[in-house]
Amino acid sequence: MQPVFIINSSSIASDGTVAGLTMPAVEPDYKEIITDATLRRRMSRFVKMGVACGLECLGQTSDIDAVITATGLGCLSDTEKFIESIVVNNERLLNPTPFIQSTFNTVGGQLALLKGIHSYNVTYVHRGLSFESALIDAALQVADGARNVLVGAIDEITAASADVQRRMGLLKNYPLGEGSQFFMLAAKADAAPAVCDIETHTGLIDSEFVSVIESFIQRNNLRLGDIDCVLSGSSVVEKMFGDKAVDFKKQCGEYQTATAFALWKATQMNCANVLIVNQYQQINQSLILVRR
Amino acid sequence: MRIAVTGLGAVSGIGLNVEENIDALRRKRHGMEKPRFFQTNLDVPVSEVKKSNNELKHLLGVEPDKTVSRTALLGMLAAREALSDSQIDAKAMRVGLISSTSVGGMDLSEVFYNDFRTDHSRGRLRMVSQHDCGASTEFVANQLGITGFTTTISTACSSAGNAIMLGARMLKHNMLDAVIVGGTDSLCKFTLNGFNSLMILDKEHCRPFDASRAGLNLGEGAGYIVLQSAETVRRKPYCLLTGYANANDAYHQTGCSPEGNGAFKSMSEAIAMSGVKLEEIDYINVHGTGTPNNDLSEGMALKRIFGDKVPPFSSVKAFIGHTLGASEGIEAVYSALSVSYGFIYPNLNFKSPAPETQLVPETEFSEGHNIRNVLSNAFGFGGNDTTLLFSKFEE
Amino acid sequence: MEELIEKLKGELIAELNLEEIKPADIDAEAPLFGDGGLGLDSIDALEIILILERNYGIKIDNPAQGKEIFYSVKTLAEYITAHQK
Repeated sequence: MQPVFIINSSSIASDGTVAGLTMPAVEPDYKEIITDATLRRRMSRFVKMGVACGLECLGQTSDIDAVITATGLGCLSDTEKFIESIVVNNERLLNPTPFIQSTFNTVGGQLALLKGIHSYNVTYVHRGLSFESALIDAALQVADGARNVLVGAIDEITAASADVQRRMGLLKNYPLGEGSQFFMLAAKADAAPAVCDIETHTGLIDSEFVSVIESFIQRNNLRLGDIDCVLSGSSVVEKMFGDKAVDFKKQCGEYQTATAFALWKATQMNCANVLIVNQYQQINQSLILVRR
Repeated sequence: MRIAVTGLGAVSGIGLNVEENIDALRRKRHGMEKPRFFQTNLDVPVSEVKKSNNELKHLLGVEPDKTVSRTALLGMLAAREALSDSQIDAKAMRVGLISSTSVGGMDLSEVFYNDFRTDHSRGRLRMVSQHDCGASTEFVANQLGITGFTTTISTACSSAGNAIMLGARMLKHNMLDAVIVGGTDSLCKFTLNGFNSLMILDKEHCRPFDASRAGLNLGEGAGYIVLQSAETVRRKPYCLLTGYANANDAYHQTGCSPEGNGAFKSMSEAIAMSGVKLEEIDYINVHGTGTPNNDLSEGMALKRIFGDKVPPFSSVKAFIGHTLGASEGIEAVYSALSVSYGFIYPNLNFKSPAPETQLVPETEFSEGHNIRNVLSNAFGFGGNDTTLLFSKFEE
Repeated sequence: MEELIEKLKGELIAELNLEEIKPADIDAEAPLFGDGGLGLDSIDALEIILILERNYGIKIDNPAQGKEIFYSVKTLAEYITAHQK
């Protein structure tokens, strides 16, 4: 694929503190970032987190060729609020706001509304590959001539979600995480990190994943030793890369769009070749190569 | 690369497969009734697929005690039909699946929630494990043996249009050899109540583009098409996908701008991309939900583009309801057949044109027309506007 | 009427989540919708319809009617006084 350069990025994420089953994000004062009170008043935490993060990444620009967002579970708190209201009120006299806010493309839509962006706007909701799908679409946009593309992810913790996931045995390795990251991508930029390759899979067993990682590195004309750092959410990687492997989920927890946090971390590092290797639960696998 | 449409699959309130759907459109037999297959106190017409979950499982060869969301079952039925129709050898090509949904497994989750809400240790986990949008897509991919790139888009009512666009772009970038694209959504309490709370449901049978229109009726179903390069086809394509565009209205969270700015942009860009002249567009499958707002916005956009020469157009939503994430999938199937067989579909319940636009839709089914190009619209919450353009295939 | 107007202001602030506004900030005769007043929109109109039905037993079937009735807090109070059962 044609490399896409990350010219700006933003993040709202955990600082590593665990609170029971979860690792909540450290949130800014949203009033300072989303200054329009009329729009802000309807936003739940999920929407504020995503919109604020997106606005931080956009800065003063609104001349964007695409806005692409990703989420694994969407706005859970509004979903829960609306379902609860259906039960409690027996389907009568329901407030529409939580329903509207619960739609998966809410953050993308709000960013477009706030900044008057009329261009391409899409949301991916595909488990542990939601953000990767968004990134692939963004890269295709750039390859097709987009000058700059905003791509980001959002996922939130709710008490109900944590309880369900614990019951399902999904929180054994890491606490439940949440956060939002946004990136501004462009076709060319000096001294900026670039996403050079992305690959996604579902249902690989460990040995298959190892082969996939090896082929991925090879097809980028690199050898295992050329990789300076591996940001990993997978145990498979420790055996392959030893000390170079950093478990990013110890900082952000496990959730469907955690790879966005890993990519943000990669942009903060001054390495020539960073490989992100992710495995969401035992379901999805992905690889992202970031180079400077 | 010319993008060919080689497989079609559809399930809706008017039919379990493409042939049944077209037959119903021909006979003006709509699918609108009071809800039968799920529990609700709301007394509104809906277009349900006329099979229970157990009957759908039986049709699909899925064990009756396996818990599968209705969205996944509907998706499977339509995707299977489309894949088989295309005659592609899924083992010999890189075949992907790009699906869309707005409901996901909510039909099961809302049942889980009834038990869970008072005690978080209650509720059967298998009822909530398919809640997310990706679950139905992965179910379909597994069942069909699809191993290529798979993902799920969720942008409300324009979702399937966006899935079709992404599929075409991935083919052009040689990331896939063939791709099944479209969407699926089942009815559920959450969605029905959501639309009811917005006061945009019509308590009567909807009347798209009519002066007296008062809202939409919801529907459920699934629709998929198979796209591949025209050079690789094993059967004569139904048509080509020659234009597509996605624009954002950026006007309001749920409403459309009265001038139809987003719609104007997505339609103009899709037409420009295809290189087709305005007078060569022979039919438009409008989004036409029947809400005062949507039809006005879309109507204004049509007039801005076509002036006094708006081509024949109709909305099928009085037949199948607004099927949300499935709508542009099912309607892409209808549009492809329009090009291929010269079909024009009837817009039911139309009596008099809206005063602002004076637009009159087609009210009868007809066939055998020379339909060179069909424009198909899908406009969703969040200002997401997507338009597709299908054109006649010539060797 | 004054009491009702004050009560309504409180209900609007609470239901519509007007975080930074106090009852004293709302001019009872200023337009609620569009620019120049509170800047409410069509979703707020739906929520006001809910307030009318839940708190005052008044049903409005057509959301389009809403925007006319709800010109200002004062017209809203007048409507309630005229129609409350």
